[in-house]
Amino acid sequence: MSIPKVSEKNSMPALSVKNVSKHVALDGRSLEILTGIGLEIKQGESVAIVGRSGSGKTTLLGLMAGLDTTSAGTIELMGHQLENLTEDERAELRAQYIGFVFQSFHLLPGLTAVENVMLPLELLKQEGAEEKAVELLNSLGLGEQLSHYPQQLSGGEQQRVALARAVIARPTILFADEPTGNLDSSTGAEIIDLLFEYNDRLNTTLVLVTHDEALANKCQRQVLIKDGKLVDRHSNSSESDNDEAVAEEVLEGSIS
Amino acid sequence: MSLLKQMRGSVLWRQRHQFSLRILFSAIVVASLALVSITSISAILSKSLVGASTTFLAGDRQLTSPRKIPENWLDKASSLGLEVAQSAEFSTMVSRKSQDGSATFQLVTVKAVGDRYPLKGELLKSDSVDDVAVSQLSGPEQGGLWMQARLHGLLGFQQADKITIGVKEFSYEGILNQEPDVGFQFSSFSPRLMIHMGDLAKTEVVQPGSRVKWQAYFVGSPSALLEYEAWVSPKLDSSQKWLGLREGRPAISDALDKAERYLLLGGSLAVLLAALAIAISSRQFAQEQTNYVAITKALGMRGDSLLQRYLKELVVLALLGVGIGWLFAAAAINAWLFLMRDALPSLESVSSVMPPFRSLSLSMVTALVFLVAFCLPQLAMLRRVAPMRVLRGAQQLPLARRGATLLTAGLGSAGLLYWYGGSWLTVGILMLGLLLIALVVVALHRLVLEVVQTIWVPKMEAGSALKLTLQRVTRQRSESLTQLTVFTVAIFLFAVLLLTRTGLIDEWKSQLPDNAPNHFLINISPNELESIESLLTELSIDSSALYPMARGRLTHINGMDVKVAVTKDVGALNRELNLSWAAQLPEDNVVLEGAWWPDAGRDAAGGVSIESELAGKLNVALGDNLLFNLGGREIAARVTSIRSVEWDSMRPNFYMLFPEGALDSFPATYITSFFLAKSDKDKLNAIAEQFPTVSVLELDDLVMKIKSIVAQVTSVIELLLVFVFISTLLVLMALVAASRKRRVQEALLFRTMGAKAALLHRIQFYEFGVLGLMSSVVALAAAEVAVYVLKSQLFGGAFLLNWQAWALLPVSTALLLALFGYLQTRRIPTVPPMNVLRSNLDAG
Ligand SMILES: Nc1ncnc2c1ncn2[C@@H]1O[C@H](COP(=O)(O)OP(=O)(O)O)[C@@H](O)[C@H]1O
Ligand SMILES: [Mg+2]
Repeated sequence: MSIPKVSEKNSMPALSVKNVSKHVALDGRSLEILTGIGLEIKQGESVAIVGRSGSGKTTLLGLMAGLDTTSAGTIELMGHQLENLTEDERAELRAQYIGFVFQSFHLLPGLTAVENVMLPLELLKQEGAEEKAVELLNSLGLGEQLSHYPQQLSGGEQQRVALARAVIARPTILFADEPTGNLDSSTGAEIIDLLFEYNDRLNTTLVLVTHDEALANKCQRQVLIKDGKLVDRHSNSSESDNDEAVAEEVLEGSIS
Repeated sequence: MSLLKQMRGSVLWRQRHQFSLRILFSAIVVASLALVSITSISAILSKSLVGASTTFLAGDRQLTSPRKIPENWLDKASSLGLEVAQSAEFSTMVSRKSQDGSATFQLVTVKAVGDRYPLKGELLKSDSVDDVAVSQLSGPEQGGLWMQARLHGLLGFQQADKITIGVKEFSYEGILNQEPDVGFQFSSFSPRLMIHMGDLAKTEVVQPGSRVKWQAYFVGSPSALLEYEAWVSPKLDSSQKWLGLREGRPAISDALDKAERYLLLGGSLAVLLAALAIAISSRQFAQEQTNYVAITKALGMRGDSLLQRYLKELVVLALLGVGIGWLFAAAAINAWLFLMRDALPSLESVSSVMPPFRSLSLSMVTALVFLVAFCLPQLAMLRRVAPMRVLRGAQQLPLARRGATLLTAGLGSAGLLYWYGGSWLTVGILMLGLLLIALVVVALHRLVLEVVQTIWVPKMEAGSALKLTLQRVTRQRSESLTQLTVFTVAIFLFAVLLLTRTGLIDEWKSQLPDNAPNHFLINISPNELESIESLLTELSIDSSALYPMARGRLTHINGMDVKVAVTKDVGALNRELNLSWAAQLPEDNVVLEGAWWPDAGRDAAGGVSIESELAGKLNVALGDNLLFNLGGREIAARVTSIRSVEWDSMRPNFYMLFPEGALDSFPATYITSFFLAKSDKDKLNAIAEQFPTVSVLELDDLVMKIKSIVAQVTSVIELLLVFVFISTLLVLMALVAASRKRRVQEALLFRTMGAKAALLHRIQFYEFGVLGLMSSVVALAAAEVAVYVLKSQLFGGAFLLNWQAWALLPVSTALLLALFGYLQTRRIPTVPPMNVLRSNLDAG
């Protein structure tokens, strides 16, 4: 099968989440993780999902990326309704539109930096993977470490390689789940700058889960999740009363 | 209760679902199972083989002499605690006198036996032709006589008739069905009968100068036998012979020797493979302990006491595994005995067995040494785990240095092999050999990977499953090399056993096919040729060709009298040799030097082909001139070829072969051989009646016995192969398990990048297929070389490229491994991709 390319008018939202709930069966009972989430993310937008640990941020991210399925409600990714798709069709969507940056990098230990970065292109059957990967890593200042293995790289270098891997196939949407969680603050800041650079330069939609207040503030919009519910929205461009509430939640979250 | 509590609190018990721990445990069980069963079965087998061999001698040892054996020799044996029995065998005419007064005569071989004959083996007798043969504890009573069934026909014997030997009349007491010690002897052509030793003198047949074969049989403890042998040997002259297990029974002692060596080799390999599985899984297991150790340390446990705790529990685990393996082994051995009992009568005496205690301690020490030797370096790494790791999230514990592991593992294995009973030299050779093989294997695979990566992969279609597979195999080079090397070594060991087994069993089978000749007709005169051939056809007996045979003595070598030329005592010089001629080289003969007739050119006319062993003893070489005396007339011949001969093949074979026609002017008789089933034995009577001067040589019992031994050995070898196969599988499983975590991680990542489940399945399948194919090809090549060396050193035999193995092994290994890897990892693509976000890579 092949996912028909919906005409990518810039007006079409990158993600549209409508009344989404997620519950899992746990010890015979149903555990409600997310309830009635509604959210729309425009193309090229940068959105931070904040909330304390265990509130359901990662779950929401996974649902939006089609890694998991909703219990109720609908999610549209670039016009494709995820509930109607099979596991493999969702995978194909990811291949077309999505890049990931993980908290724990997830570089393959047996592969060199450049080989790790080449992977998405190889899976997409694109030619010239190596040249593109080398060029990208060079631009990220990793020209010396091309053939280093992940174990030979520092945390910041590893996350830069992971970032290169996430963007090399030019995704429309970049998901990042606490990308700086395993890094010290200054190294984290470098990564953040890079993320926003791609957001700016290539108009990549950026969906970011974070504890980091400063990082969240850099996003055009912040979304707070509390006990599985979207309690508020906050846009950095238009001041809101809930600014403090968000800051409070973010702070609490970073301690928990 | 406290034991139960202790068990629940144990680190290992809590991780009982951990795959690596299960493999570790299974490997210990299998190592112990293999070790215990192989040592026990080879003990049973060699006992039973020795038993079978001694039955051919009718005692543990035998002494033969053309003169009466001196009383004081026998007394000496008794005084050493040996049991002694005697017999005397001679040819004579017997006569039957029927009640109406008519008489018939027949040339027979008479054996007079003492009260205690036979000391070993089965003497079978039945009351009449239709009765079942019953095993007897001793021969006939004085005045009584047993005789072979075919004598009935030859003599026209009736139940009430009297038989006279010499001047003594005997009463008929039954049919002689089987004597234990009638071997493959051309002297016993005539039908046989048996009387009591006490009647020997009364027949007055045996006079000074008569040809009599005196035999004494001895049974007793090995040390007493040795002492007696040492005492009696110097007293023997060249006409007297001391017979042990190996003397005169090459077919059996050969099988015995080879089986012993094979079992030893196979047993060690099975254990070695299990050790390999222990090594891999224990390393893996230790690595998986990282987080647990980090947490425990963070909670305040000291590294040393933690290490002690692990060691203690591993020892308990090892002992438990060995115990279970021992129980399995006991069950396996008894099942084997049960299954074999009908097929192998010589096992009857062994009813049920407990594996010997020594094998238990053997496998305990083995398991402990391997476990500690392979586990320790990796476990020691655990002491270095920083408690900080708990806070910092997962990174794998570095693997222990290869050097350290190799050193402890090498020392452990070497020590064990030495303890098993090797010498330091053989241990050194074995270890060096394995190291060398591993190095060669690594180098070879490195080369192949390099070639695949630089030449093949770039040409492939981007994104195809095979390309993705080869990319990961060639890129993750050190992991691939480790896997390939271990696969290769495991398959190599298995292939070595498989190839040598096929060789051994085929060799035995070809020597003794189902229809191996078990009867000979000797003394056929030229004018009887046609009629005997037509009689055989009429009886639907499928006989071998008729070989001509002239009897003659070798008198001179290069003009020199053999008595001067050959100082050694060579039996072949003391009697007349069977000389024959043939246009074609007999089936299982091989020309070692020189050329067979058509190729020998002008030399052929005056040539002779000599058997290689005799040539060696006589110191005769190609081109030497031999002079033979055939009943007063002489014939000279030049040695044009030297042949090897399969004496065990039960086909007529000859020391000397002349070109066709060379002996035409000499009187000759013919010889042939054929297979005759027990139920067809009365056909012999027809032959005997029609051709009274033709002698029949019945070897069916001997052939049966040899076959039974071969069957035993074969069944043990098959069992051994099963163990080795299980061990090999364990190694493969351990290795697959070791890479499982990495595979899950990779698959999850591929999934977030948009790879479909089918692609991931295919990558797994191809990867194991590629690894299997590469490693089995290299393993098989190495095995062929090793088998060649082994064969020429241990088993004897020529090198033969095993096409069947080449056609089957690589493909089947690749498929097996692919399937195996696929099954092991089949759920990976269905692991919820969400796990990648939760860093939870163990699920599935
Ligand atoms: N498969 C699952 N089974 C049970 N509970 C789950 C499962 N997945 C997530 N949860 C629970 O749902 C809640 C939200 O988890 P998560 O989305 O990871 O939160 P966050 O990323 O905000 O820290 C947590 O309490 C977590 O334990
Ligand atoms: Mg989270």
